[in-house]
Formats: sequence, structure tokens, C-alpha cells
Amino acid sequence: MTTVLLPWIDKARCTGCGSCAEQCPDKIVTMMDDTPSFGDVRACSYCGLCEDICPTGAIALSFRIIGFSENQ
Amino acid sequence: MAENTILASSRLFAGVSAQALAALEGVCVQRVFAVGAVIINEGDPSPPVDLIFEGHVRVFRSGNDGREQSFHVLGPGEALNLVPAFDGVAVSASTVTALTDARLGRISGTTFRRVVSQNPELSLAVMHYMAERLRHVSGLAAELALASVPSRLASFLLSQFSEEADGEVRWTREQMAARIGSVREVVSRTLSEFKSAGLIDIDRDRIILLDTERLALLAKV
Repeated sequence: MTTVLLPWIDKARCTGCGSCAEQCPDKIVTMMDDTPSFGDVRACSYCGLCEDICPTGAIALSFRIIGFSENQ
Repeated sequence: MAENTILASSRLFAGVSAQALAALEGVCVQRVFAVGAVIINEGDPSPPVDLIFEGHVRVFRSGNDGREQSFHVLGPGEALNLVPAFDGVAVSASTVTALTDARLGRISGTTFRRVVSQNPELSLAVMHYMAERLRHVSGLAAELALASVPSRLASFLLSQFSEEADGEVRWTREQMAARIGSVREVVSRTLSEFKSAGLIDIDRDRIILLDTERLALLAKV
């Protein structure tokens, strides 16, 4: 089974401004009680726009660094 | 794995005899930390010495403006907080957080110093280990002062691939920036440039090093 990763949200830093929900190109972020929530995780393209536009740096995408041979 | 087996195979105590390691038996208390947990804060008084049994941790300091500088990513067999155990300033010099779930063997700084001071073999092992770490930090200082951001990022990517974390540790772009003394936006832009140049590929949550030879050349610039 493949784990589908999502951008990570630091709720302590999130002000609930809703920018991520408004601009998510995959339309999977919705605001619930002033907190962003991800819907269909498989639809997230991991583009990083939410991280780039978050005014408080509350969203982060994490990456694994691997060699080309591990990708074969 | 048994505590003694882990100690014997650790980087800190590599080559130390079982007889010398026996002095550390029973003084370790195991602690478990979940991913993201703070293991120790910069400025904490009398920090214990932690030996990493499982998992990976990040060692860093924060500036007044909130920016961070990472010094090490450490994994199984490595040790934390050796400096305050020996330098007479019993205050943690850095913050340590768990990058993955981690299991540590914790020994009070006073006990560790006493045991090591009574055993020349352990003393030499600790000196050797601290000398290695000092060499690493000296190299990092030179890199931050002298190398460009693309060079530092190339060096960082290669180090993660080949040595420190074996691809198990996950890094955000903010954490990469903290490691190489830059900011997230610059790391993001530089990764895109690397991708355009065919040095790496970014496939969802994986940064794939496509051309390690050119990355190594860039790291030397």
C-alpha cells in the first residue's frame, strides 16, 4: 500500500485566512471551523502552492531525497 | 537489539572493548520520542547525554528573528549533548527535535563524565568522536562563509543521499534552508533551477538525484 502524503499544517501558526483553500489548483482544501482541511488526498498534486502563499508559513511539504537508482 | 550491542556498534564507541562498555551498563534510561517532538531545548540546564538507538534527530539553533541554522542530522549510534557534559557550562547549546520516531538511551551528564573519566578507552573514544564533530562544524562554517547557495544545496542533497539519513528522513524546504543558511524561497527557486538543468527530478514528495557527478562538481564551487 502506498502512503499518500499531504502538505503538513501547523495549526498553531494558521490564522484561518483561507488563502490556501481559495487558491488550491486541485480544489481539495476546504475551510472547516477556520482551519484548512484536505479532502480527497489522492487528488493533491503536491504542487506546493499552498506552502508558497501561506502568509504565516503554517503549511509545509516534506520530501525524501533519493538516488536515481532507488527510483528504478 | 540489546543495549550493549547497540553501544558496541555505535559510531561513538566503535572499537571500544566489551569490558570498557560494561561500565555504561545500567546507567542508560530509554526514552521514546514521536516524530516532531522536542527532545531538548537550547538553554535547558544540565542536559543529559543521549545515545540514539533508533530514528533520526535534527540539531539546530534559532536566531532572534526566528531563522534556524541546522548543524547535524544524527541517526542510530550517534550521541547528543556531549559538549555540556564536559565544557563546564551545563547548558544545552542547541535544540534537538525528532525527524522520525526515535528511541534514545539517556545518561545524566554527571554520570557520563564520571564513567568516562574513569576509563581511558571510553575517554579516547569520546575525544575521537568530538574531534570528528568539530571537523564537521568547521567545514559547515567554511561552507556558509565561502560557498554559494547552489553549491551549499548541492552539497546538502548529496550528503543526505550518501551518508546521513539514507533517504529515510523527510525534509521541508524550510528545513533545507535552515541547514544551508538560506531561506525557503531561495531553496525553492534553486531546486527548480536544478530540475531545469537535469540535476534532479521532483516527483511528488521525492527529490531524485539524477546527476550526482554534476552535483558533486557544483558542491565544490
